[in-house]
Amino acid sequence: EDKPNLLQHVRFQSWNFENILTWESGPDSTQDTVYSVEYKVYGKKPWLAKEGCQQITRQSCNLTAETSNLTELYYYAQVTATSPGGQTTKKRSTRFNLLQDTAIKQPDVTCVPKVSSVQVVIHPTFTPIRGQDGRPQTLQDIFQDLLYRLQLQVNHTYAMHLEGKQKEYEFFGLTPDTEFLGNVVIFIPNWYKKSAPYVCRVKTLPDRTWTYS
Amino acid sequence: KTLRLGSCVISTNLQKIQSTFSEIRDSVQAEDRNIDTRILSKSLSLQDTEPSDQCCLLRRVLRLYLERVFKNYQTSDPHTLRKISSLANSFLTILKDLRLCHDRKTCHCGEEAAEKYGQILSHFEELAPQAAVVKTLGELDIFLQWLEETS
Amino acid sequence: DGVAVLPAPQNLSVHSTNMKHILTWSPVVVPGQTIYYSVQYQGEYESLYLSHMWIPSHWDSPIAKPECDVTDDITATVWYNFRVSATLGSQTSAWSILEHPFNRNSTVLTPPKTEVTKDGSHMVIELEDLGPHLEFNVVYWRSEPDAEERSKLIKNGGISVHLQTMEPGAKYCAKAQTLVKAIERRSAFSRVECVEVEGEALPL
Repeated sequence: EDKPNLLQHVRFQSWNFENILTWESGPDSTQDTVYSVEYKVYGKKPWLAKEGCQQITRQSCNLTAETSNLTELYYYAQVTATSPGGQTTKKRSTRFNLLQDTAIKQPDVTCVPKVSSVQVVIHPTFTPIRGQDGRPQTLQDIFQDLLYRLQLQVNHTYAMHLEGKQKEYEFFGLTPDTEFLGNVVIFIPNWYKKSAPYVCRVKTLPDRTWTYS
Repeated sequence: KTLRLGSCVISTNLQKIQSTFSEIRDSVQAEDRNIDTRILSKSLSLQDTEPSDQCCLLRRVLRLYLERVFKNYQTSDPHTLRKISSLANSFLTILKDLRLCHDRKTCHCGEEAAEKYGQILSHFEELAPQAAVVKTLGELDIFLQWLEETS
Repeated sequence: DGVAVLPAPQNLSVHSTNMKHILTWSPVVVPGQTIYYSVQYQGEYESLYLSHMWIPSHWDSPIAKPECDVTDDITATVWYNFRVSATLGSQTSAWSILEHPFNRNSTVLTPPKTEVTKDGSHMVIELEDLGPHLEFNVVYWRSEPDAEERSKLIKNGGISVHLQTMEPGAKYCAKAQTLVKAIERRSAFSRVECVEVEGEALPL
């Protein structure tokens, strides 16, 4: 009897450790096909049913809480699709590596224009992961080598570059009353991770100081 | 990247190795049928090993990869073959650097290194040969994570 | 049956500059015919543990020219062997092997071409783009006695980078060198270039 294909592309999609399992319906599935999700730690036996994702009709399941242990970094998930007639298809994700497979969202940044400079303040990015003290961990807590790369495009020919681990930066020596394009990226060298850029368009303030000759 | 293994200090390009492995990771791990067990178990990790024994443990695991994993992994795909060659030659570079530490007597093999490597080897040999090769190759990201945390 | 009638390519050698490695050989000439070549390589690992194994260069399809960019085949700082064979229709030559194995740490590193300019009071440098494997160390200073040298690591060439904001009436200079972390080597410095900001030096 031909096995129905009710399900395909089971995979983890992860941003800043927010781990969502997604899948797509298969050629043989219908509106009434239901899905049940299980997960497990690689190297350990039991598959565990994910509460809240049993017999569901939607095609995603938030596994963040179940897959956020920094000492158990490698996970699998699998989805069983069941048709109204009771036929099933079971498909497994690839091995999910918590540190390697999470993508980094753009940073939370405030650009502050002044007369001849632009100040850039980067706010910490919290993750769902908790430390041993129960406190939510920031990306910087987790990735020790995390650094910020800032660029201010001065005009069409060149840009100013700053880089570091601190949260506050300032581009000096700018022309008053002029527009600049700022760009801030989170970079994690060890894991070859680079966030989407935060972009801010700012204009330095007019210079109202009176010069007495 | 600088790896500090007790008094043995070497530098290596973990990023490059990491990005090379990521190109074949999913296909290699998909060949691993037995996901209930793990060869490089957490309790045997390099970073939780006495610093004075880290160099020796690393040397032995590198040799396991060079002599029994890369050598016996079977693939007809040229792309995979090239990536395996790149990984193997990068591991060989690290092993050659560690040999310098061994020559300078900074790569001592103590009880902990022998005990941990013994367990890794017994996990490896419990499996059928080709299954062991595929699983150990699939766990290369675990091994790189160990190196990452040792740096 | 494709017996090796065709002569094997000769004079294989690798020319490497700034981490770009080109394998060349003397062409096999058959008047009026196009000869194709296949390139394979073996890293030090293969020669030690799998000596029978040769790996097709990433240029899978046969090559018509007597040269091949093997940069992407050489991914570790170990010795590499190369071999080339010629093909004409169903005829295939024997393999010809590189006489001396190649190691990328012997690549020739040249200082980058630089252009130091100013935009108002800003000192700007543009560096030659020498490919993805190279970074640049730029050293810059204010041209005065006991000047303090500052340096900046620039990840890639081909873009203009701001070095510092300058004071009127002073001269500022810069030079650059190529860096390759993978082989832990650097080039000589480029020639020094200076720019000056008009106007009088500010009163102290």
